[in-house]
This record gives sequence, structure tokens and C-alpha cells, in this order.
Amino acid sequence: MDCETPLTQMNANLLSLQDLSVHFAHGGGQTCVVDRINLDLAAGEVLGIVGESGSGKSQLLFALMGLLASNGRASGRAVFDGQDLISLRPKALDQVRGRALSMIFQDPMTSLNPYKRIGDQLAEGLIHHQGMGRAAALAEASRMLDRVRIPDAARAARRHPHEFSGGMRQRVMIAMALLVRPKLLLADEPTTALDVTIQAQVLDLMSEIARETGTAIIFVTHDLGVVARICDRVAVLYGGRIMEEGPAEAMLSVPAHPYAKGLLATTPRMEAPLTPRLPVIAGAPRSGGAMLPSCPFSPRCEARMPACEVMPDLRANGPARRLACHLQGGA
Amino acid sequence: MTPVLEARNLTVGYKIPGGLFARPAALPIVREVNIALHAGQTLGIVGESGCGKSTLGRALIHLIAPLDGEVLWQGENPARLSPAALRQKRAEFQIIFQDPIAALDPRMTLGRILSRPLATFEPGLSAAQSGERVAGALSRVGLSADFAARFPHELSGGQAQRIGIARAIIGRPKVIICDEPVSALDVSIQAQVVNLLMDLQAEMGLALIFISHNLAVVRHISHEVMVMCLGRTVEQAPRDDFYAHPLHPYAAALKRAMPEPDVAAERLRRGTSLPGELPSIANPPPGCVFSSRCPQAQDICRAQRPVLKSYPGGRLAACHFVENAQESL
Repeated sequence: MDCETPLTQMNANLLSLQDLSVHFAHGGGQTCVVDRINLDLAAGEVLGIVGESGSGKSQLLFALMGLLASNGRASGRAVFDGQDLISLRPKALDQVRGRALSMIFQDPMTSLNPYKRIGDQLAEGLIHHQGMGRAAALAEASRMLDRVRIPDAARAARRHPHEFSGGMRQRVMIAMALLVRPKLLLADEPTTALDVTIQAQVLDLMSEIARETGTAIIFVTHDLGVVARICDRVAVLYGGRIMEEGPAEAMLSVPAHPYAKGLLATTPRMEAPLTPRLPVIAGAPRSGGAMLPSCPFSPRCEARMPACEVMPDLRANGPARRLACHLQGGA
Repeated sequence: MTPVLEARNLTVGYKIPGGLFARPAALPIVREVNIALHAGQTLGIVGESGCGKSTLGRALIHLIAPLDGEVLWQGENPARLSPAALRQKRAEFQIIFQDPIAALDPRMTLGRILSRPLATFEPGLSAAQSGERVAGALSRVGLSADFAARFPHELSGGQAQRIGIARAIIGRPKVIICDEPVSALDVSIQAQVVNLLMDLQAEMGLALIFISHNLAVVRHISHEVMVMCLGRTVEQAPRDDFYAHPLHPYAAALKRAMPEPDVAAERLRRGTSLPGELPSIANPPPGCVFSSRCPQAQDICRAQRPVLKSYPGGRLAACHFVENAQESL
């Protein structure tokens, strides 16, 4: 999309990332962790962002929420609901966060205040952002706890975080995020710390909420199985760049990028035929460093060729799919 | 042939100190577990938080003494060995941990970390011999000899787990307990470590206990699978039969809950999650340990604990309704 277009004409998408980058400054140098991401999200859509350590997947969300560490800086644009989140002043961004944008994190215990009752923590956002009275906010809070299936919600609202299990705490976080009726929920590995059967419950709850309320979700995960269960679309990140993006079903049945292929092949499965050895991706994920002109995956790529010295653009590759690889059409 | 590692009716727990009005008590975490592991074989132990799988792993190498039952190392009970003999014998029964970096002393070079077990188990070795063994162990786990001079903070997660494995194999073990060894690693690194363990098993005839919550990883490495729920074995079976059709409803629920990277299959599993919380081991439900969450639970399940019974194909399951469980899959 052309940067000259007025912001108001861009609401075909709920969120549109345009050349979004994140840099961290340290000791005179700069590390690029998210590199010129272009990505659109429709209202109500569930988008998975998949990547390993250091892929920049979490920092991308932090940039949208204005939560980067003090030495981090985001550039480019993230047009959400007609406003560019990156250039918004803190006060205006706070308004957006209180009304339309929420985030949940991997570890629910460190996101909750251990000294405050759950109900008070939930009500706080409504009182602060929407000027609601305390009693009304508390009632709304326990209604939302009930919505995320916390048993005996009214009593649960009077408890403290340590009285809840990990799965329950993550439900509390989801309830808190949903209280402001967001158009977009950012979820950073929200089920990674949970047990398998509890993860399944939370994923079911999140799909149901996306369907019923029309809330769009960006779901950051390292687990392709989670993508298959909950996401409509998926973008695969490596070294801060999108390698491939498209509908989840197509991407997981026929990935085109050598990294996406490798990731799928190396994921152990219960239904596929067993091989004597698990397929591997040689080497280790890239960690930090200056921005490179080359494809960040090329040092580990079996299909590497001289052209890979220059990072290819993310181009259309089949229906609703985009691919950034010199092997256009797939490896 | 004597199994290299055996557990007979093993019950393990922790002592709770007494208070003003409370007597000291023993809280059993793992109850009545039976295992017979042979050289070259892997037993996968699967379960969720608090099911006792890590406690069991520690008891199997005698880091925790049993409350009841016994552990046998090649037919010998480690609890009856003299302290000196036990120390010698520990070379053969090793463990690797989930957080590979936390498992390494940050102030020691990797060379020193690796030579420590040799100093304990084979005090007669010269410095040169010990250095050779360290280099040999490093190369066996796919790291170059110059790693010996590095420190743990210089390692990635995958490299640190390789060091953990090198430390376990340097004393030429017969058994390694692998306690969630790949859970903290990136997917692409997980596969490398699983392959390494399988290669070492083939080379050295190692027996492995592979503890994990990830049924898909367990399938790749295990010959036999044991599912634990609240400290008890609820199912135990050869790998292929188990994955084809688990007998116990809890095992089936675990399998259904594990997301697979297959959109068509996952669509069918949406909305099938098991309701309810994991019960606490300190306060288990009466009757069957799974009865509070089991979709098929009847009155008998809440009243009477099902015993572990044998089924064709060398399988074990503890459920009053195994036949029903199988049909409902």
C-alpha cells in the first residue's frame, strides 16, 4: 500500500503493517529484530505468527502495543483501525489499548498483581479507560470471568492470583483482555506454559470467542500444531523477516519456503509414518546481530544459491499466499 | 535376562514435617509403579504437571529413597549398597534435565564440568586420559574439542543440552533418565537432540527413560509408553499399539489434546477439550484418579479404584470400562 494514501481509506483491513521494523540500540551498535514486515489482518481473522527463538515474533507484538524495552525503537507503520500505532503519542496509544487492542502473555502469573483480588484487577481497566463506576465494573468483571468459564465467578473475583491454577490464570488474563471488547487481541504464546489438556481448553475458548465476538487474534507461537488448531492464516518468521505467509491449511499441507518445509518436517507427529530419524534443520536459529542484506535463513538452507546473498522480496505465490525465496514457486 | 533397571511396586513421596498439632507425615507422590527396562530400550513416561513423572525419574536413579517397594539396578537394590559402592555404581545410572543451562555450573569450564564425573567414578585416570575422554565425549555429542575451554553462558540451549548428555555418557552409563530433555528447546533443535539420543542408544546399548508431556516426541524415541495420572500408571503399552488405540480414556484424551500440524485433522478436534482442572495429588479424587475429569465416569469409578489389568499384546490399563473407552475412539 502506498504511504501517500490517507489513513482513513485504509479500513478494508483491521490492521495493516507497512515496513514495520524494530531495532535495539546497545553499546553504540544496533540490532534489527524485526525487519520490514508487511502484513494485513482482516477483522475477525485469526493469524498465527510462527517462529523460533530470535525470530522477532514477540517483539513484533510488543512494538504494536508500545511495550518495547527502552532501547528499542519501532519504525514503519502499523495502521490499526485508521490510526498508525507506531507514531501515536503515549496518551493516544493508551486510549487505543483501553478500547480496541489487548494483549495476553505467556506467563499469566507474572502478568497479574499478586496483591490484588482478581476482580479488582479486572475492574481497574474499565474504571481507568471507560470511566465506569466501581460496582458496575466489578459486576462486568465477574460476568466476564463467567464467560471464560471460571467456576463460581462471583466468588473467584474475590480471590488472589495465587489461588488459581496456571490454566485458570490464563483464563483470567483472557477475561481481562476481553473486558474492553477489543477488535484485536494480541496473544504471545498464551498456551505454551500450560499442560496439554489445559492448552486444549484455552485454545477452544479462544476460537469460540473469536467466532462469537468477531475479535481478531494474532497468535504468536512456535507450535505448528497450535496453528492448525486455531488459526485461519499463518506467517512464518525467521530472523525478523516473513519467509512465507498464507492460509493455514495450504501452508501446512504444502509449504513452499525451505524453512517452512523444514519446520513442518522436523515437528514430531503422532499420525505420520515413523522415520528412523527425525528430519532436522542443520545449525541453530540466528540470534541478533546487524541487519544483513542476505536471506537470514540462507546459512541453514539446503537450497542456498548465490542469489541468496540478497534477501528476496515477499511476492505473491499462488492463491492468497506470499513467499520470500529465490526459488519462486517453492523449493 | 535381568532388566537393567527395574521398579517393583515402587511408591515414592516426600516427608512433610510435623507442626504443633500435626504429626510428620509422608505424602506419596508416585504409587505402586512397576517398570522393567532392558538394554537398548526406551520407555516413554507421559503425563501432565504433578503426575509424578519427574519424582519417579529421580527415584529410579536413587536420588529419592522409596517409601515402599524397590528399585533394582541390574537386579541389585541401590538402597542396600555401601556409600562407596553406590557412588561407583552411579556412573551407570545417569540423568539429564529440562533446563540444560541451569543444569551446568556457570563458574566451571565445560571441560571441568565433564571431567568431574570422571574424578568421582574413575579416580585413577591421569589428566591426559581424562582430557582424552572429555574430547571423546564432546565429539560423540557433535561438539568440537575446543568447547572444553568455554563456559556455560556461551552456549545455546541445544549446545547446553549436548553438554548435559556428554556429562551423562562420559562415565559409560547403562541407563539415562531424560527428564523433559527437549521441552525447552526450539523445534528444529529438539529433533537434533532426539536423534542424538537415539544414535547414542544404538552405539552404546543405552536404556533410556524418556519423561515428557509431548506425546509426539515420545512416539519417536520410545519402544514402550507409560501414561501416568496423579502418581499412578493408568496405561502401559508397546509404542505402536498405544498410538493406534490407547485403552485408557485419559491416554485417549491426552492424545486428542495434542495439536498436530494438520488443519483437516485439527478441525475435527476443535471443541473436544476435556473440561475440568488437573486434580491435586495432595487431594486425589476417591476411586479412579481420572474420575473427576473422565467423560465416561460412572458411579463405580468414583467409588472404587480400578486396578492395572493385562490386555492382549502385553498391554496394561487401569479402567473399569476399557472396552467402552476403546469403542468411543
